[in-house]
Amino acid sequence: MKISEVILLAGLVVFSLVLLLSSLGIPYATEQTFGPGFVPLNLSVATLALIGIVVLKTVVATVKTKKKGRAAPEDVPRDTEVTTNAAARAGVLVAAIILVMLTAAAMEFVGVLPAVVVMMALISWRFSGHSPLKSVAVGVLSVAAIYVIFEMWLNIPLTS
Amino acid sequence: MSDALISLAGGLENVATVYNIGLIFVAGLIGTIVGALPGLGPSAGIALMLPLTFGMPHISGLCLLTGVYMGTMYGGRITSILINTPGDAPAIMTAMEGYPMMCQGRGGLALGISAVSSFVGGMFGLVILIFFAPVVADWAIFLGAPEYFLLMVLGLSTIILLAGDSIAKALIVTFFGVLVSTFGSDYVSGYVRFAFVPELIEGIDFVAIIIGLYGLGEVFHNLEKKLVLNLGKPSLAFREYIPGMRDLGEATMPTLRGSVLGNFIGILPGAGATAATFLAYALERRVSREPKDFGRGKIAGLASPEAANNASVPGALIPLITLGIPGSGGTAVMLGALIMFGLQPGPLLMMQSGDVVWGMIAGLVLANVLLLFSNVLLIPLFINILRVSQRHLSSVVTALCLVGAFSLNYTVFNVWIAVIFGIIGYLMRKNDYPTGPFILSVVLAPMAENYFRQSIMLAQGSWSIFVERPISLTLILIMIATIVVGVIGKRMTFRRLAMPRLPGRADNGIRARHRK
Repeated sequence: MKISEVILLAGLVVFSLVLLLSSLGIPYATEQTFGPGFVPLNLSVATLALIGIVVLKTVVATVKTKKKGRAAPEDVPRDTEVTTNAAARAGVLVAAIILVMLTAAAMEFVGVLPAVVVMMALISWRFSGHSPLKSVAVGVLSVAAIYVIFEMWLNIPLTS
Repeated sequence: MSDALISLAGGLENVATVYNIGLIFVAGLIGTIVGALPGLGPSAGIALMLPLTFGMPHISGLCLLTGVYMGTMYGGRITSILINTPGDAPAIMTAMEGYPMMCQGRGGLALGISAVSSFVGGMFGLVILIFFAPVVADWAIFLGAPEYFLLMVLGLSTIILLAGDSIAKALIVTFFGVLVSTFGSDYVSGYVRFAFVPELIEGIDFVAIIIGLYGLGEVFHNLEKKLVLNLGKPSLAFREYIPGMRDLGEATMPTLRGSVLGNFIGILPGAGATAATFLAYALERRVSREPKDFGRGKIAGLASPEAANNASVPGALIPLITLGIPGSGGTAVMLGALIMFGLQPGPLLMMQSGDVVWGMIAGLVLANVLLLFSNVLLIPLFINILRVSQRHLSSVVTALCLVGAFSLNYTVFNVWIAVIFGIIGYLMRKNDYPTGPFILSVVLAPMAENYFRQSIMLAQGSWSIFVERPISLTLILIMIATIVVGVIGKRMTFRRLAMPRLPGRADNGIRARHRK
């Protein structure tokens, strides 16, 4: 099981557990029909059970492979360059996600458009490999176009 | 029949002025652009244009609104195909096949085929609207909560067809989708579920989810893999954009199937274009001889949902005009517009204000024709804009996604929702968890839950209501058949794949190059 899949399933387990515990306090049934707790309670239990089955199947498959004397895919010695590349790519991804999250957080304080300009320039410069000047120019021009379409034409308040 | 034609001719006579035709053309273009923007769909498009109709003659105002409505249905496909970011929910299925075609350098063709299929679907729906509106509306009122519940479950059962290689993974994301859909006020009891923050009282906005899942998820994936699409150089050769006879031949039957299905689903109040496109895609995958090629740029998987999407618009207008029941978000805003014009949608509307209604229908016919031409003519523009900006796509798409999510209700909360689902979308894609079943359950589960609880309430706690009514019993049988055929089909595919492969089998055909 890849690390990314473990992160996904762990997130789903936490999400389902939170909903399961919260739905215990919601009416499961009324006199005439099922209550608002019926679906979330049953579905969160079902999700946890299914995740359990998928994890169990993966563990059993790994153990069987090891018993047969073959190394599991995770245990195969990896080429150093490939590992370094994968780590570098993961680093880029994490940096991009953090940048987008910081942009969302900054929107509360500096407004939508200034935050988006900075984000666009940084993505263009650091991740797409353009020069700083070109990156800033693309950011400013794109946000100007967004401003014209959303704010001026469609009257969607992005600056207030 | 002849009465309908005479009424339509009268409507055309009222609409066919230079002013109205110009208005419809411009409205179609505006709708196309609004529909293409992430976060803005038909409801937003019509609502934004509503103030412009104040002071206009009724027919002109309705022409403007219906032109925008049809335009948004055409526009939703553009960003789906070009940057894998659906403008609205019904365009998700378009991205499934349209974006791989774009990656293969066939984006212009995908836009051309989808425009033609949209036109055919729209026209089919309009023919049904013109000739069969009263008949269909009479029939539709016989469907009650049990039938609607089973229709939703029938839609959910198609996850077997959208499941990919692992049914367990598809079920996990389906259940996850159902859980996501339970946030916010419960329609039956009014109970507010899981409102951990006040913004969640209204639930999680579905459009913010799809913006994140598809738009930001794709950006994260491309940034990690350092993928740059190979879209070629800007070109104005129309040959590249107009589908040939072979492509049109391949799209013909899926377009017709999508038109029939989309129109039928559109007529059912509450089902809407999203359910229509999912079912149309699932149907095509089911009847295809090469279901494994779906998701890799299959014309049938592109044409059918597009036709279903546009056929559902006139379908949704049938219950609106004849019963006063809006079948979708777009028609709900249209209902408000009709009331604003002093009209009262319902059984007497055709008798009391027949000239306005037939004028609106004639406007829809004209809008559909004009939109085909304008959309085909605009394909080179869209494609070449993308070719010029392809090296900056990651930053542009991220910006559009964040601004689109913000514009849903002008709060940063939806931006956070989009970011969270962007990360989830990336993780799902990386680990082969299908996104189709997740989206399908987010859309259909709330309606299914409501209809289920209403049905049990109607039957005073008894489950027999689902088998006692002939239509619901038929739906149960269809549902069982869908699941059984889907599971058997999957097993046969696995067996076929287990056999030695012939050499030279093509991969998914996506041409992309990795930058060092």
